[in-house]
Amino acid sequence: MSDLALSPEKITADLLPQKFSKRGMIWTGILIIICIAGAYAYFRQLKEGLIVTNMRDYVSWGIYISNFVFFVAISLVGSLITAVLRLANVHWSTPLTRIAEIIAVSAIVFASIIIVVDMGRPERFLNLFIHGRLQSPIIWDVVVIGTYFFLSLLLLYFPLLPDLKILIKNNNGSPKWLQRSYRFLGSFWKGSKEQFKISNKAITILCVTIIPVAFAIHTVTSWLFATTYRPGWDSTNFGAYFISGAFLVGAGAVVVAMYVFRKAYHLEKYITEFHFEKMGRIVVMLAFLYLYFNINEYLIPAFKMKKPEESHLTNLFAGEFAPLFWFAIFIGMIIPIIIMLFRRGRRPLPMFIAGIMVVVGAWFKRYLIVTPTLLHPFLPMSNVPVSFRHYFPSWEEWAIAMGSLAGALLVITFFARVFPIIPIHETIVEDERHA
Amino acid sequence: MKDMRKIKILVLFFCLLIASYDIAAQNDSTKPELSVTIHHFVINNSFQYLLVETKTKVGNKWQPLKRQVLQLYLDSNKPENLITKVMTDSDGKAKALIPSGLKSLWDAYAIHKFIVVTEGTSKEEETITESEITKAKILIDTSNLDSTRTVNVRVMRPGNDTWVPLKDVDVKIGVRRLGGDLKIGDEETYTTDSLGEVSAEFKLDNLPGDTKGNLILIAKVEDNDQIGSLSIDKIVPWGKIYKPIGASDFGFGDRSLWAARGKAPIWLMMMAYSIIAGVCGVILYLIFRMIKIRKLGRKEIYISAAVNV
Repeated sequence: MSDLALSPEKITADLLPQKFSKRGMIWTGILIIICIAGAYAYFRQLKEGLIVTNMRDYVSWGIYISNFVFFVAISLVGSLITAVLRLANVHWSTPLTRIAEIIAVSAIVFASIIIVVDMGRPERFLNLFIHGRLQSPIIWDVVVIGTYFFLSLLLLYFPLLPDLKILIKNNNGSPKWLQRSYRFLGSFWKGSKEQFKISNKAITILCVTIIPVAFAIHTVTSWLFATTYRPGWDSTNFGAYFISGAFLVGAGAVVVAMYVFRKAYHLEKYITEFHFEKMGRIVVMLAFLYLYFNINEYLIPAFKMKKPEESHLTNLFAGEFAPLFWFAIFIGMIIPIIIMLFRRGRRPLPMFIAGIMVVVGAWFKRYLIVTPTLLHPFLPMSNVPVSFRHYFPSWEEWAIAMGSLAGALLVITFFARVFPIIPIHETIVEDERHA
Repeated sequence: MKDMRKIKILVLFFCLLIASYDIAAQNDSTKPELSVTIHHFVINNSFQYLLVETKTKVGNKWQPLKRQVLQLYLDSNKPENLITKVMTDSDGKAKALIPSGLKSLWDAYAIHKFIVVTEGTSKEEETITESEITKAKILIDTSNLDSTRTVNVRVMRPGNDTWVPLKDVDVKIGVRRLGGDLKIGDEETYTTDSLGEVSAEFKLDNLPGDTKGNLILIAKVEDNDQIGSLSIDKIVPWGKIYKPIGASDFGFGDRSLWAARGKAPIWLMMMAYSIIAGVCGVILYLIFRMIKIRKLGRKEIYISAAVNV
């Protein structure tokens, strides 16, 4: 927050949810259209089957699983900003906690949805639970995703309680259904000392619990690949590699969201250049960490160049996937590092651009983790059709993937319309503490 | 004039050349080469059948003649001697059994003739192929003297009132296995002597048999010009007792990471369930804390309402 102390009334007035502006309406409309296109594509997939996708016997995990890994990665941001920084008693991150938490919740919801989309027979989804084998990392993933969702929801809800009281009190002009929702969610919150004591203890417990669960979700997702003996996946490094990547993309997403909310809701007094400066340092550190794991992940197999790895690696470094690979490395890591390494690069606009680079680079990185390996099986089929040896998603796959991304953004957009995107009560307390 | 004559001769020569080529081409298209082979099989001296193989020459290659109708006759191609009418399969082959109605004719003579008539079509002409077979039988016996196991086989043909030995017939002796017949000794084939007999030492010690240690010995004569193909088998307890391998022998029944759902390792179950229980416990505790906050809030509402009253 800016050094200038603000009155609680001013803070409340500034941070209360605002109606969509014209730009907000256009943004929401575009997202809804993309979601409808995705829903139509999914309807076609349900009707015709997975044949409408370009996934075949070789690439059976295509853009959907890449998207899933991306969503899982981005959801880690909740535990980074909220839990890690809160437990470390870092106060500057207060305005960013709710942004981080809603990104985490929406990402984990769409990670679950995209997995169901990838299933050829989604009506058999329940069989995962009825007939699932405890020995399979897929079941571990189902368990940790469910657990992480509930914990993220609770971590979003507990700190929201004092703000719900403020929302109920300042509900002039809100639609009736919204007022009823506020009352249902938080009318019992009186802000008594005992309630605060219980709530603060619960938040601390949540922060302690969510960190191992968040690590578990990313490690287990990496094990979906690493427990398979295939070039590009057969690595003991994968858990740490995934976690470091998840931290980076999550932090990048928060930077983008910070800039957008700051601009859209005129929150310059609350999300200041100081916050961008701090987040910039974090993103640089995380980008270096992820780059380090990438060097480990590619340099060592490339040094040994074992026969099964050879075609996979040469394809990445200088073959069919080389443009995408170097794009992901440079746009997703090296250029953002160069931008944010300098103080001038840690200002809002350069940070926003670097944040977008990190997120886009991360999406393509997930695609590169999933697809090229599948195109290089250990036991290639004889007389395999040409369509098996190349993969480019069909329009249905693109529409569904983009629809899911738009859906996640829509959840965040609607949340910011209904609830304060910066915690009002915590900001007032922080402001009083500074004063 | 001389030039004119030369031209006339040349024109005549070319006309003849073209005409001869056309005639040859017509002959080729109307009469493709056809090959019909008849095989007669007798199994265990009781069951017999015919196998007819047909081929046609396409270009320089022999190809199976598919879906060709064949009429099979015994001894003469009269309607009453018709064995059956069959159609060749995709390999150009057709099988037929000799019907019981021809038993008296079969029993009456020692030598028979099989006649195959291919039905004429627009492309092929009717052809008749014959094959002569002498009735024969094959017998198998075993002996086990001084730990030497021997297989004795006799091949005979009908004589006047009785069966007489058939010499100089090649016989294969083996043990029936899943992938084919395994020869019992060093020789590929054994030739019958003047008594129509062959003997072969059984050298396959420690060969796995069935669950009782039984092996199936087989003796066969293959595509003999005179007697066709004959085979006979005999069960002998000369193999090692086979113990069936169950799922448990491979460890599939044990608890392991690759076992079925109900066979998850105990350590994994304990670890996973204790982690799940621990995290669910935390979530439940937090939900109870939320209920407590709700209760505290409601209590405060009642107190303030009471104070106002």
